[in-house]
Amino acid sequence: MLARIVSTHFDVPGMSTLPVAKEHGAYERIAGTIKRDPMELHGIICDSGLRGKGGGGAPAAGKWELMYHYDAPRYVIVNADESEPGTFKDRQIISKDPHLLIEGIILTCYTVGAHDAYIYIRGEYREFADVLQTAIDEAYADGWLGSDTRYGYGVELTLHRGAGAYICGEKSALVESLEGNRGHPRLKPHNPSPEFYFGQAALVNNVETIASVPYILYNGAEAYRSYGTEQSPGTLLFALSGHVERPGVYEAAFGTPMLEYLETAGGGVKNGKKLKAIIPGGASTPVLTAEEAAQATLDYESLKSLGSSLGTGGMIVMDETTDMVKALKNLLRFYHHESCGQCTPCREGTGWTERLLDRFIAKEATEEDLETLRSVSRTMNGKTICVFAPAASGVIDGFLKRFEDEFRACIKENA
Amino acid sequence: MSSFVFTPENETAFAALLTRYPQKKALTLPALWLVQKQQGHLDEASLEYLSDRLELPYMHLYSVATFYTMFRFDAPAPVTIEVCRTLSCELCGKEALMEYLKTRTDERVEIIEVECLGSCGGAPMAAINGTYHENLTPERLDALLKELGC
Repeated sequence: MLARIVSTHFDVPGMSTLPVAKEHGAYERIAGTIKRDPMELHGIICDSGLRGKGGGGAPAAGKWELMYHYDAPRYVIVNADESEPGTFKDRQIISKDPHLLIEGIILTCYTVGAHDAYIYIRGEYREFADVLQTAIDEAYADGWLGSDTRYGYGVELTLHRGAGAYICGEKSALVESLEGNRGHPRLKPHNPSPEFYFGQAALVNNVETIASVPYILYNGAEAYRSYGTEQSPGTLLFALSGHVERPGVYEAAFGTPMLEYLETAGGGVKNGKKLKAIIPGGASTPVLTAEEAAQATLDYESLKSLGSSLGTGGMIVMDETTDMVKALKNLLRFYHHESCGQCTPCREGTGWTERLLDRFIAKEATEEDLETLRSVSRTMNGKTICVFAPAASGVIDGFLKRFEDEFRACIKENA
Repeated sequence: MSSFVFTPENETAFAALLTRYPQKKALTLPALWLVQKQQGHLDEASLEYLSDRLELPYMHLYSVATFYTMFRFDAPAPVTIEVCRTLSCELCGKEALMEYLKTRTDERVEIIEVECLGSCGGAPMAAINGTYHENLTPERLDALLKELGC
């Protein structure tokens, strides 16, 4: 169940420094690997079934393939804007094994034919950005980055700090922000298309996706596929927070039963209390009841079949004492605060629903308020530029569907 | 009107940034960070200055700066505490931290409630002057503030 592909060296003291990283094999196999044809390397990624680990879970190889249709310069952009509530996995890679990420970037750049890469890291991660910047400087000084590298392929890598905007984790908003604009998501074309950084094709991938690349290219697609399920191959840095004995990030193979993971990795629900609900993959995935959690396995297909999604794999655990109305209020305040304001259904809807929740908490809600909540949620779904509002809508519907009783108990006539 | 110029150190940093991006506009966020690092906050004079240096309209810089919550237009207190208020921290006792902080009316301490700081495994948590502190209790928070002389 528990596995180590990305987190292999997390416990090695000093692993963030180049000398220790090199003792453990960092950068050793780059030269041998880039003697191979980029298309052959792309084939390995394709065969491995690697799926984007930032939340969407789309096949990585498909995104990479799009790059070949566009002229140079091409860009590789690493999404380190980790801001999804319940998610704190990318910072483990950044602070504990940054050279693994840099190695993954080098290999990715070579495979898609890019010479320039950016890491967009959330502004609040200042301490972790400092660790990463030191690692980048070391890699430059030791000839692993720059125009004249030891392995003969130039890669320029720049660390770029965000400044506090959840929406910049959305890939097109991230590129907008990297161009120096407000983080407004872009309209999506109908055909599969890469992102464009100042008009040039750009591959945007999550930190953990890129950090998985060295293992796959060095050990082959089959080695990666020996973990996980047929449709969700490999591993993910799943995480536990909330009412858990040992919260934290623990890598595991896809397909692990959710409650087994909670027990084995996290030591179960805190203080021996009874489980009430689990938000499976970051705040934006619909909540599951304890009964549903008992059926769930940690892969994209299982969670989809339960009406939720795997998301980032950051589970928020709630015990029997949790007030679900207050929990939803907390999340809606988050969405209201973080809406970028571009689309009316989202800008207004997130605020409206948050205010409605105040009436439920004060036990002054009416039947009509409940209907309004559902109606606003419908209006937020599928009518906006990006998936922020549909995600918020899914969160509302998830709580109402599974814990309707608690909301009804807040209606004045019932209270 | 007051004026703004980069310190020699930030001038060097700015010159280095210019070599890292295909267009000057991409320097918007990094340059705003340099200003904020230099004087603690942004203001009209510094945005006018960046407008010249980046060859961008003042309004672009103002528009971008006001979009991101970490950029500020007022001087910060010597000690800023950003308390995470999102779900995992709320489930794990963020309210007790806020109750304690309400008793701290010291004007040298600025208390800000913020959304998820990506530290859910160490909930409840807060960033003090930008440094993360996890698994906080009112007692630990009190001790940390005492260390800072508050």
